[in-house]
Amino acid sequence: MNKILMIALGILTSIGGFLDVGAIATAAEAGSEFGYQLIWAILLGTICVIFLVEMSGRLAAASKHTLADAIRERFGISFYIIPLIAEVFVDFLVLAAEIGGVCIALQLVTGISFQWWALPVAFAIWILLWKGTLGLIENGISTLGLITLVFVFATFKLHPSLTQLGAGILPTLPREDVTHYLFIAVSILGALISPYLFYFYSSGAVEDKWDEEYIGVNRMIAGVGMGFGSIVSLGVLIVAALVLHPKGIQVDSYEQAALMLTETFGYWGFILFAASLGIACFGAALEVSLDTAYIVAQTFGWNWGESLHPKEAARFSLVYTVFVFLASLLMLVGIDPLQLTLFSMAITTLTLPPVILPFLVLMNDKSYVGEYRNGWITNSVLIFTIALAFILAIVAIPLEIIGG
Amino acid sequence: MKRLRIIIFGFLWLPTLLTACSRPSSADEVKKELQTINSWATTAHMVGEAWRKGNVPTPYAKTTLQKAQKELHKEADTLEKKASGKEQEILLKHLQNLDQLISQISKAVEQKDYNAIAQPLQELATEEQAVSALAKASEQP
Repeated sequence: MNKILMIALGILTSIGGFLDVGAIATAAEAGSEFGYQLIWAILLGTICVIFLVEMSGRLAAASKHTLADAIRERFGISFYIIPLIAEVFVDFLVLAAEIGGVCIALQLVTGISFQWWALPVAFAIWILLWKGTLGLIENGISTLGLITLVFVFATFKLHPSLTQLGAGILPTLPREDVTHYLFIAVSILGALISPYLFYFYSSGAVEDKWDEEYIGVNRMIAGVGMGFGSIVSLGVLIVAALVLHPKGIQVDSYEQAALMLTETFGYWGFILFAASLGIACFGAALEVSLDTAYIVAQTFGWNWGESLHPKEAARFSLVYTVFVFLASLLMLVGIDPLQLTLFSMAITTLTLPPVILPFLVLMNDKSYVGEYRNGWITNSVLIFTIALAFILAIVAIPLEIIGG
Repeated sequence: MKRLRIIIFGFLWLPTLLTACSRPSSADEVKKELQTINSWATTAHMVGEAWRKGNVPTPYAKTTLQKAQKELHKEADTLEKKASGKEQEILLKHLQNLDQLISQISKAVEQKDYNAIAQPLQELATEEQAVSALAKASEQP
């Protein structure tokens, strides 16, 4: 494929695929409760995720190893088992939350309780994984995700004060409810720096047979795509801050968040919100399911690949089949999707240190990345991100108890 | 090994320490409840208003109004435990009014009666202002 076309498609799909249930929930809650005060958390998370995604892609292109493969090979199975178990557990919670997001979107439109949608949604995810290809999932669903740009259009239509937006870039503590503020900040970072992104991205790159020629493409997709993608997340926060915050509405459920776009776009605003939530969560659910199947198959040395026929990668296909079905059960029993989302985002931060720490070794190991080793800027950002990951992992649970 | 034990011990005690340091006072808890009541009352108002203008579908309006009522009932239960005396009496009275008004709005939505919704929406706005004023008053030292 022509490189420019590939970069353009990569950027578009990064923007369309940026939002997921966690990003929508945390940004809406942040905007409705604290106005623009948590913009800095989205910006900080975006910078970290740009660098980590770029490194995952560079590792895959330069070494032909997925992240999971490289960690297992370089550190041994006794080390890799820790991030593996943690990742599978977090993926399970996140997948249930994503399925919940799709179910809620359907509930908003039809009025039929989200629990009834759990199994049909799980089936739709499974059939697409079973019959579809990686290209369809990466490009097709993520391109549909461009509908989430509606939050950016709404932002422009609402004319936010640039001075106040600028003030949100600098971290400040609110006068009250500090623990809840910090909990939301941790959840935003957990939603943005999702470990599944790195495993999924590197597996996709290996499946698409990236080599050194793709280093530039990777850099553009990670930098520009993720950078613009974060604008969608900022859009959700800003719209919530402008529409819900002044009225005193705190987003405690998706039904409240659904009102965000009705003042700007009327009935279509409501439909566009439901469509954005549904498509973003559906796309993310496909990625999380695949991610779990990728890392499990890569750990045990099974055949893997979304583009392979299920018969050629039977155990890989079995993993996502079981996983999707089990995750849908959490919604079937009626667990609150928003609370599950916030909980799983906080738990995600616990798994960050063992997932991010190996980057420091792998991305400086000549036998893996050769001449494409990290420079001092990338290493500085990586060390900062690792330190941040440790802090987040330590404070996540106390903040969940006190401020969640 | 000893150092590791100290670190683990410290890590386990951190939540307890933070919880103890940040335990909110009874007044803070009541204030938080008032904010939640205000949030759900305003949600019900916004949903009713949006339904009247045809900006949201009827099934969504019904579900969300039911949810708002359910949340307000939960708040009433909580306030019965946390607030006391005159304060409790006033707050429960407001919650009762809100509950009645949201029931009227729900009924209008159920019957698709666009004329019947205007009056309870107006009264709901007045109740919201009263709850909001109480929340602000609770912020005063």
